[in-house]
Amino acid sequence: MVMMNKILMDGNKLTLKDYKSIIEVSSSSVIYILDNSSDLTLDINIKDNASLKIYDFNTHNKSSDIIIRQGNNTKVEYNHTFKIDGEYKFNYEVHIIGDNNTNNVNISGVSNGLISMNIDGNVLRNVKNNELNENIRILTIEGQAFVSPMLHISALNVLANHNTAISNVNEDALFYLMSKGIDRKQATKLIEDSYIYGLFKNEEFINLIK
Amino acid sequence: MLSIKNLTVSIDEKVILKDFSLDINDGEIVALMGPNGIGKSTICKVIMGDTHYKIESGSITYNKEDLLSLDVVERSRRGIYLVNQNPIEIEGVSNAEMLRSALECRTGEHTNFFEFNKRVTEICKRLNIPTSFIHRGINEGMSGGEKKKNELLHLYVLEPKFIMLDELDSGLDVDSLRDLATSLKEYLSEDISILIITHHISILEYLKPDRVHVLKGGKIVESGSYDLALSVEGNGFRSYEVSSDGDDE
Repeated sequence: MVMMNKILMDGNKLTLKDYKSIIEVSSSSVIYILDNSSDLTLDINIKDNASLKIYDFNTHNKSSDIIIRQGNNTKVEYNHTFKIDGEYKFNYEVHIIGDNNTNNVNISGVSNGLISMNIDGNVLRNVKNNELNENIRILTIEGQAFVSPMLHISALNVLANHNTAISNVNEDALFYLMSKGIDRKQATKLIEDSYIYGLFKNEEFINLIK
Repeated sequence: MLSIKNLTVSIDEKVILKDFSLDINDGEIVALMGPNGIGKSTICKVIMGDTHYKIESGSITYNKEDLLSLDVVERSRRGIYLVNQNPIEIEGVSNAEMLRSALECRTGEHTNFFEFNKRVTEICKRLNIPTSFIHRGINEGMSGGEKKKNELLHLYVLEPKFIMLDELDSGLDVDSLRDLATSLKEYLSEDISILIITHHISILEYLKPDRVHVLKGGKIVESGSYDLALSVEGNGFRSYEVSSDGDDE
């Protein structure tokens, strides 16, 4: 059995050091996950009226397993960027068990290896006014990516959006940058970096990962 | 000086330009007019080095150098610049990052952050562009007019010598077009040339061309002064005949 560290968050900003954790969030909190080299297992409970922002950056080949439960009047924003050269298995599950919740998932990264992503949104029967948004964009330079989005919606009053784009380097974008005098290697790097860093508007986190 | 001689260009085995010739001297403004889908934009893309197009025959020289032997990066570094009809949006790559990379690739030296910001801020003020543009993604979420202004910001930073304006006037209101044309006129000097691609006279009213050419059937069918543009505006393009060997789209 894997031992899980239990963390209580009450308005904290946490840079995660222990990658197998049970986290209880009771007010507005932020978690930074910085380039962990070991497998990530997070079990997060968002208590009523709490909110959580997660910034997760990863360049190591591993697996991530994140489960989030949201009660009533909660808000979760999960931002994940990565650059992976090997194999990466990613699993994200959100369980909406109450009313008036929002869960926004923003994932953006570069695959030079093999990426497999399951993103599950679950909304229980008889809950109301909930919103799920999933935006995923992956640049495959030499690798592959598979994304499996699942939305299990049992309630009637739910707004759910899913958007996934998996693409190679856009040749038109490359030509545009090269027409400004930027050589192909640097132009490719600019596009690659836009997938890794462009998602985060949080300057503090960008500075941490850079 | 740019010189195109007997250029024949195709894409997907379809001939777009046929035996096309055009000279543009330093300091000249030349307008190329023609109806939609006739290959006007193709000329810009071929000069810029778009490899989607196949050069069947002919030559392009720029300052006596064979342009066709150079890739798009080398052409840009020699001062050739294209303002696209609908500039592409590149999400997550800021103007600042792109311009700094472009300057560093050209000079091979690290750009001084402070000097760069100071210079770009001055250019924004001069062009009446919000300084927030500097840190926005390239053309990301911008209106048609903002995109063209953004391209002008790039132009002022990169200081090209041969500028191609591919339907700059499309999607612009009267005020925006006048502002952009005024900024371009301020940029001009005796060694800077402009090739204007258009099918309307509006932009030519602000940037008075030295010569006007009408393109049809993949080649120039009529040449003249600014008066030719006025004639086109009045009579349309239908009155210009294509010779029997012309291959109009």
